[in-house]
Amino acid sequence: MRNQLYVRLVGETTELSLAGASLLGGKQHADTALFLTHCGAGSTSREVFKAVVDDKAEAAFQGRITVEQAAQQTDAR
Amino acid sequence: MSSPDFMKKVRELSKKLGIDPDMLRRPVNVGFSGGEKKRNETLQMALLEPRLCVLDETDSGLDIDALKVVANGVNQLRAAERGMIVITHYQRLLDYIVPDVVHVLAAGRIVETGGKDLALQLEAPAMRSISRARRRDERARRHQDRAEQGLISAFAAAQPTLPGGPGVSAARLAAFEAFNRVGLPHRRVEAWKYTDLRRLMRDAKPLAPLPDAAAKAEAASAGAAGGPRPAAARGGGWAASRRSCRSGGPRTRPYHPPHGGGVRRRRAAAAGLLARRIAGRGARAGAQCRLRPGWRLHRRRAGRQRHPAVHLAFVTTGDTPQAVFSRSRVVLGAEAQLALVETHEAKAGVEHQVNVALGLLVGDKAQLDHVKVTGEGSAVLHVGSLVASVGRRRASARAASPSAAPRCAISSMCASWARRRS
Repeated sequence: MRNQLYVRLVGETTELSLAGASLLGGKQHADTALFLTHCGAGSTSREVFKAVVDDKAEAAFQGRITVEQAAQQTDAR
Repeated sequence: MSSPDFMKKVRELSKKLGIDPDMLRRPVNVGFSGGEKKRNETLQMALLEPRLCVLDETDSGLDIDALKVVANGVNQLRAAERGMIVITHYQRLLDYIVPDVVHVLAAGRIVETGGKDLALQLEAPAMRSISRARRRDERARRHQDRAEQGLISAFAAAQPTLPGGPGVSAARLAAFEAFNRVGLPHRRVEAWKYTDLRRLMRDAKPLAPLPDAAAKAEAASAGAAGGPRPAAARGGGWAASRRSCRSGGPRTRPYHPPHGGGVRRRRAAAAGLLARRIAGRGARAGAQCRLRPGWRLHRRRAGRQRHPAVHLAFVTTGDTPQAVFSRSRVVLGAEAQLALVETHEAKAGVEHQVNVALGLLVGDKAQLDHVKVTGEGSAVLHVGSLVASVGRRRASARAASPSAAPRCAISSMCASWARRRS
């Protein structure tokens, strides 16, 4: 399974919270790709992704947070 | 330019390039050696002052001295406003013409790109083995695996029936051409390095047909039997959604929850990669709803209103593997609030291929809570995309005072589990 999220925070003082949970077993595969772009000033974002894998399952997470120059006072984690 | 001025310029360039002036009195290329021909070509290049030069194997048949003359001429023409493509099979030319960028071609494709040091590594055994591996991959790529062929054929067959206006069709065609060019994503693509779709998809399943009565009944029983139901879906909002779904149909119908306001439900404009008109056999949204190419939820009126929770349940029925593509879009206007629950279910053990995309457009001072639950089983290949844009960019930063700054909030949670094979 592949989940990809492309999020752009265009407005100012926006708040974003992203969370994910995966429970895998056997030979299952879960991949989460997150691409977040802060465009407006004063925005806040939080990301929490957890995975529980058993047997020969695989879980992957990759994330990229881009803060543009106009996005001052950004709080992104 | 007059003739005397031209001849003056020719003599100056000849002297600069180290070309004997006696060559200018000889018929062009009559009795010229290989080196003299190359020098003559270099002189012509200098006179033409091109913006782009293509030097195809310019070092072939040259001795060291001639090579130096040619390289000297090329280096003297190097300028910021002039591009040069130097094609060679040997590294020795690059000792005299130091490149800015090196591209290594194998089987007609660029397999490696680097700086000037890459040229020095080409002779190394490791690089030769890498080149062999890449040539092998390219040969496999040229034959285009079954999955890509199947997807291309399916799209070509479905394209005349896909909905959308000229803009959507143009975007869809551009995406299809890009896919035809690069194929399925694979591990060498940075964003897909953990999921090699080209390896996982052995073949392309047939596109799911329209749901028939049996599929709808199966989908309804799947919902009634239980399964993952997030808590946010229960309550008054869920009941309202169910009522509206029963009255809904293939045509656009306005949706009036008890709280007022309006959320219009429409057949989504299929856009993007391989969008298909039919979401899946027996796929439904909410309880007892018929899902077409996806849902488009649009809040029309302005003003602070809270809409009930909307549950988009995608149920893929049937015992034979099939491919399902669905595109949904949620547009939330200013000061609106919405809880959106998205669930995906399928019968265990059936190897469906599900590609879903959800677009979220959240306006100023709006709040959206989104939960996605994937419980289709381990046999399903699920690729889900979420594209969200939150807030509206202000035209002028000065016009927005801090007190009037928009506050948009979006929280999205993806929960997934794969049922184990019993």
